[in-house]
Amino acid sequence: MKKNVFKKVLFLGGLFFVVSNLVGCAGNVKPEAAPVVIEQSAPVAVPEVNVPVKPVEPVIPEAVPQTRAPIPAASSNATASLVSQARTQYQAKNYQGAIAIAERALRIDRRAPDVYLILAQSYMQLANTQAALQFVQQGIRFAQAGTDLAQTLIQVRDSLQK
Amino acid sequence: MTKRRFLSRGKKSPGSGSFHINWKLVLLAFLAFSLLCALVLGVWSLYLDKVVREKFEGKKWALPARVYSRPLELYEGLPLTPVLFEKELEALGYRSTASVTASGQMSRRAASSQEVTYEILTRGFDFWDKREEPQRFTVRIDSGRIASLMDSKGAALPLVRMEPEEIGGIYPNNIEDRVLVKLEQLPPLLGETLLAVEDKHFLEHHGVSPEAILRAMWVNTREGEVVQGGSTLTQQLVKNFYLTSEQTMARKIPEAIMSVLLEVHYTKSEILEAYINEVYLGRSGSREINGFGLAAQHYFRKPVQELNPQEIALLVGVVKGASFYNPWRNPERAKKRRNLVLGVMHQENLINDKQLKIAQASPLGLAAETDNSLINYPAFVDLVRRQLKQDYKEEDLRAEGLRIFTTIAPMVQRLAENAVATRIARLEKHYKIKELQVGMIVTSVGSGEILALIGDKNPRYPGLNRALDARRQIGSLMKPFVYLAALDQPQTYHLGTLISDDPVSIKGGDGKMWEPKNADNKSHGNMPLYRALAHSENQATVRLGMQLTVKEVIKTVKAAGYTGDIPQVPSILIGAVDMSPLEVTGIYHTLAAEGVYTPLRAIREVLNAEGQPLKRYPIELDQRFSVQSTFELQHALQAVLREGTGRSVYNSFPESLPLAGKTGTTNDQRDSWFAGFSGEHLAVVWVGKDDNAKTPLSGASGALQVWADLMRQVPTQGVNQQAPEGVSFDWIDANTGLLSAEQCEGAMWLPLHNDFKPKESAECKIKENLGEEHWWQKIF
Repeated sequence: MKKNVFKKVLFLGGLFFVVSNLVGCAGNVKPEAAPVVIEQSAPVAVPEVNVPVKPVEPVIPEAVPQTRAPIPAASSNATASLVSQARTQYQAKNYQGAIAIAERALRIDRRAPDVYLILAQSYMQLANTQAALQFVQQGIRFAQAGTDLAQTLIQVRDSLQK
Repeated sequence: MTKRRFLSRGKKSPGSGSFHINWKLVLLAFLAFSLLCALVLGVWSLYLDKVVREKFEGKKWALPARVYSRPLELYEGLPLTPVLFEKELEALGYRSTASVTASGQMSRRAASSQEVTYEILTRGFDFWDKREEPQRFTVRIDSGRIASLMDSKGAALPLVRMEPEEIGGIYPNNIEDRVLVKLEQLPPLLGETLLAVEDKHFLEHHGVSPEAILRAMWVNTREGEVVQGGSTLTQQLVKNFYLTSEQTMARKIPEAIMSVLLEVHYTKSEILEAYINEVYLGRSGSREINGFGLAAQHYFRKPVQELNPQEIALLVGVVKGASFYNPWRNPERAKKRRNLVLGVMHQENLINDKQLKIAQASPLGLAAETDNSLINYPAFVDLVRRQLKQDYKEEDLRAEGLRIFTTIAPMVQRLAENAVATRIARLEKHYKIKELQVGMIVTSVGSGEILALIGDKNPRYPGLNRALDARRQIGSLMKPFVYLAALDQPQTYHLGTLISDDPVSIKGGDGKMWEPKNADNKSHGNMPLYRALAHSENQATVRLGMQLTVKEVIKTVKAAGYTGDIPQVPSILIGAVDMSPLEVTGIYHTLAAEGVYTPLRAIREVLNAEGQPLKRYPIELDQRFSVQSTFELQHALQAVLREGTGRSVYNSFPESLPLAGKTGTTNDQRDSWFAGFSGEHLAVVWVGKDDNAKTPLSGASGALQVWADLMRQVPTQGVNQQAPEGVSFDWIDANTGLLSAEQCEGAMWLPLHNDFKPKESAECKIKENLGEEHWWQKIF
């Protein structure tokens, strides 16, 4: 990462040298004249203005947060187990049951694309196209491009949009 | 003479010369009277029979709706600490033992304060989707997360769903409460002890026991007062179920008739089952504790099936007088009574010598006495009730025994309550002010589920629910929506775009000029958008809002989920809008969830008394803003806490944890707000006074402190740092808004929309202090 940044600095430095010699220094994007007076036809409400912030009471450090890392792969076992249960319900045509189980999975990992797929498909079966479309779009957002899952999600979306 | 005259005057027949009794007539009159009595008795009995059958066959009791928390789902990787987990187990009534032999028990093995292994046997529970059977498992928590989860054979388990905590109810007017228990669910020892103590001949008599009545009459006459009752268990049921508790002869007669009628119509098991659910066993504040099911929860915080002999003895002992033998108020008296019952149990061969010895030597083993509130979390249950009222009638909520599964996470609620109570007391002491109040809501980012809700600085006080009803000006909490409206026009604005913070004057419709000032009464010249937001500059924000138009900003707030009216005036740009903490949570959730609007939810499912699903409240999503613009906005909101008005937060948070949020303060510091989020939790806090008086608190010195106290304790994960498709980070020059480079002075590392990045580069002056790292460099 740092290496890339350093490369970029070198590149931009060089670029800057060339550009500044050719066209001179670049100006501000949006120079603002101040003060401005803006005509306003609507009535003005009582202004709410922040007052200076008084010294903050010192924070006494307490327990340090315990866990900060991204969700580890292990949690995907829980999600996978729930997706499998939801799939069973879906195959048994119990779409409400499939949704209820998939929502449990979503609470564990809201970036799991396969959860969105089962939700989208279940809503599709319940003829709730709008909900199905919302879920499938989230699934596409989180799915890794080019995977079978991404492909399936795109197919579902396309069929919903027809 | 007088007598004779009187008698003769009394004669009806003028022909008779002397008084004599007409026995035939007397007999006839007696027969007629008896017949009349029999008729009256017959009619009365018929009436009583109707009363007996109608009530017994119909719905016997009005059952309150029971409200449950979310069930804790355990899986490997779940952020969890031993302290929080043990609190949860304690609230669920789990008992710590050396070796786990029954449901509701747990054992604990600590390798260190950070690494603890638990063996647990759950109780099983009927959920919306299926029944979870009792399950034995081992869970190891290490360094703040679940490191392993295994079944009794050592095989890995993907998931364990614990039973939910019952957090309250929606009660009938008489606040009579009970947990219905079927006879087959009752431990046999409890049933046998009850009969041994209260009605030894229950199985033989027909509702009334003349022998017992005569014995009681003899004892009472001898003592000169009522010291012994001759009532059978059936009579006790009739008295409690149909009649008043008054002990008069007038009441005793219908009681006896009804007892016999009850025995005629129903089996002994049906009568016993009604008794175990009807019997009065105590009081918690204004709530009556009826039946053994609820009594087991009330006294021991465990289901009736898990009671041991001494607990059974205490409950059966309490039947004689719940107030007199109240074990919290009169522990010695209650213990004496319990041991007496244990003696009867032993005498009847229900327990052996060893059991008797152990039981009599054991303490009462009571759970901590509740604070007599009907509901653990009144502000949250208030929200649940309001949401339910849209779908159910009030009387159904109070009487139909509905089971309401909600979203509250008691673990988070307890932490929030603790944060509020401690911090508000400290603020009052530090600033020498009184009567500060608070409203607070914590939600799960993504699902929009409300995890905790506080409506008063005393969270158990069921008064004004400020989280829902305190609608106050939101001040600078409005500003992110001005900037989001700008970022949603990526062809014109990005976080590095310069905006002037010079004074601004706006002429209103009435000709008056409005000139909002910055908090420090200074102007800061041109500044990048992200910095204007981080430092909450009023002048720059109003100028930006006016460039975008007030209408466009209002449109943005509405798209984020606000459904109220917003006046179309410039002052709304810096927060002249009244909202409740719940409404603020609604619109900030859209920011935290990367532009996806989700209606906030407090209820997941409703089941009827038989456990049949009635209604689900599913998660709904609607992508209202582009992922790209909300990602950029989140970056600016992180800057609020890294370098802006909320920077004090990182005095006690690790640098590696990305958090985002916005402070809000209104005129004269009447309202102190903070709305902030991690990747998993959004919390909104309002602190102020009910009479809208001035306070010495800004958003940073008041509400933010409460927020930080909570977020320090909640296991959570940082705000997402991975740029979505179409966004990449680049260096932008703070003075020009053009491209820059890492080593150039004033260079800012900002997320930019790929299609609308500046094309030109600014002049680069190499920084003097190259070693200095900015906050964004520490987390990337």
